[in-house]
Amino acid sequence: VVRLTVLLVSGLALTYFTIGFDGSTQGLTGEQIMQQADERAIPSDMKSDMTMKLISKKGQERVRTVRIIRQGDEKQIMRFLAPPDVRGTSFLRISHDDRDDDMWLYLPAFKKVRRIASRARKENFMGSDFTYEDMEKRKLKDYTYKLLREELLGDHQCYVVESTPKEDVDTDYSKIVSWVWKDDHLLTKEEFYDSKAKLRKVKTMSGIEKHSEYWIPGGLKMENVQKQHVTDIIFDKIEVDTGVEDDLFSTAYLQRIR
Amino acid sequence: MKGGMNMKGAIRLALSVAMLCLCFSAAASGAELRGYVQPEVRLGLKGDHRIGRAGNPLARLEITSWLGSDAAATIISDLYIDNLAYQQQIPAEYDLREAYVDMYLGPVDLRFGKQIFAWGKADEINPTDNLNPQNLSDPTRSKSDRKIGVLSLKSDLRVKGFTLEAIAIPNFVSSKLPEPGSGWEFFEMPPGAGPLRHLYPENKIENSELGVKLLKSIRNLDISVSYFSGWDDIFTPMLPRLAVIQPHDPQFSEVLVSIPAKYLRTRVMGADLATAISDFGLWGEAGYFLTEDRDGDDPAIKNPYLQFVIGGDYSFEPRIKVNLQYLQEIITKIDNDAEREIEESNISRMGMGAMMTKAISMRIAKEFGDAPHTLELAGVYDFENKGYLFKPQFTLSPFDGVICHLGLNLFGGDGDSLFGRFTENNEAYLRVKYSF
Repeated sequence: VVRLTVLLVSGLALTYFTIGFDGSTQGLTGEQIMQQADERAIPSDMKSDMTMKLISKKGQERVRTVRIIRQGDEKQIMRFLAPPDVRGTSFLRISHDDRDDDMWLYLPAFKKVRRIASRARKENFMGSDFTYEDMEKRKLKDYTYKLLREELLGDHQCYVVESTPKEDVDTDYSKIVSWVWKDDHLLTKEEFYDSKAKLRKVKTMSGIEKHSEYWIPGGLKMENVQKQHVTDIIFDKIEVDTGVEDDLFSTAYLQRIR
Repeated sequence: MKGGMNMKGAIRLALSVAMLCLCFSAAASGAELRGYVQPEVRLGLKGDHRIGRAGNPLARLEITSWLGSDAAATIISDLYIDNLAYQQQIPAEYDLREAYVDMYLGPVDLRFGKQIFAWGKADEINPTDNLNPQNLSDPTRSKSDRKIGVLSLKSDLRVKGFTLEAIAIPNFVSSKLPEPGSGWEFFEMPPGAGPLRHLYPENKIENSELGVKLLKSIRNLDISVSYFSGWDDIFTPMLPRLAVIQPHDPQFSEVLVSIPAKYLRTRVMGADLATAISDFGLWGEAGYFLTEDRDGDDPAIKNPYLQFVIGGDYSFEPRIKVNLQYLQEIITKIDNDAEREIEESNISRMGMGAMMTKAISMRIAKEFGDAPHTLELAGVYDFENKGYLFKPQFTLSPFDGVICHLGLNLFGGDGDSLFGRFTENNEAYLRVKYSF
């Protein structure tokens, strides 16, 4: 349970940190729009607290709080602050271009660090509406893109782009539809369709504000429309470019009490 | 003081109350306070269906106080409450499980105080994990809960992707064995053997225990090598040679007065690795135990031996997880079957923590619901002695911070096997844990 929870939270954090934007989009193709959304300015390092509410169909809530430290896109460490039964549980993920991510989990009750197999990325757990795959930074080359239309979403005019996985890509979805702000290339909403092309989940960003030179959302929501279940996330205590040391991203650091 | 609380019990209860006051005082002063309350009921499945002793702590309190940004002091204490079956003994017991100070000095992390360690990559059964003695009075408790803290200094040095861990334990502490009549005794002295005369290692610097481990991750492989020089924390009875060979000979049973119980120097060279290949998590761990009987010619002392564990886990749809391990012990320098029988009956529990020479352990868990809740089937099967422990368990999490465990501990097998001894202890249990 703890392992899966950590994977979920890790994925959420990655999504949180990887949205971005820059440049103009006049006359662009779907692929060019998604490429510009992908090639965004992100902090060299970042710290934040994340509060995640899991809301069931009957309205029952469960709350998780996690401290996140991240370096670039590649390294991320997370420590559970609540609920009490998982407090101190910590997670380290290091991404690689040429192979699967390395992931380790520290369980304080056992004083042990465990390496995690990549199988967990597809699992959905604890009533949450995220899988690890949902939150991964998707590789541009794994999809084909189609610009569907332009429309207003909230106060922003958006491009609506459909991403379809290529045949050899291992994914749970048949397609993903993304809303990208025309002016800033910020990806603010996504719809995920299951293998039968039925809408399964909707993800939306909210409370987007500027921290230093970076636009960062204050909230993230994923709704499973098939199960009528919601996961609602709020980010807090955001710090960027604080000079996080590379030494932190080690299994030895996971075992520290703070 | 039969039926009531004796002086020792009263002192321990007072200590518990004092600890509680300290905890609340610490919380009030800004220190972090956490822990759990965990009432438990155990019901025997055989005979008179007696209510069993609660083996797990009723409550745990943990206080951490920060001393600046790079140092902290932590106290972890347990409170045990005995129940009806043992009320004539000590009803409440306070255990200072750990108490240490952490200091983070750049690439070096130091921890000094009473500590519990966990070496090795395997689950529960770890040949390289020999730093802490264990409380063996209830073998159904998890290994992490069975461990007894030891006063020690630990340092972690991180350099260029390597981590060097060094541990020094100045004072020897022995394991706690099951109480007589508790039903958890795992060995018997030969008939006629007199009282044990414990010969503990002297408290001097050259008798300190030392452990060193070097860890490194290479691509998707985590590797470590380790060395431990210390003591077997369970005694070895130094029976006269003839009595060992013919333990039932009344001629010898009459002349034995007392049995020296020695704690023997043991050195362990260990290695472990863990990796993820495709969708499988895989691990292996091994330890070579160099005992005081290096030549294998003293039947009272265990010969040098090798222990290893290999295992893996995998997740199936829908939400089913399987964990499987194989473990084996190979005792060296054995000349014949009679010697093998003697060697394998040695009560040493270093490394794997059980007198098993060839066994598998397995855990299958199915998750369901939002929480999630878990139905788990876990067990160990001892090939050599035809014994088993089967532990089905249902775990329910109705609210955040609350976990209910309902399960069975089912022992079976030949009467001489480790698990066959405990068939009268088959039980059902209900444990509710509230964490704060």
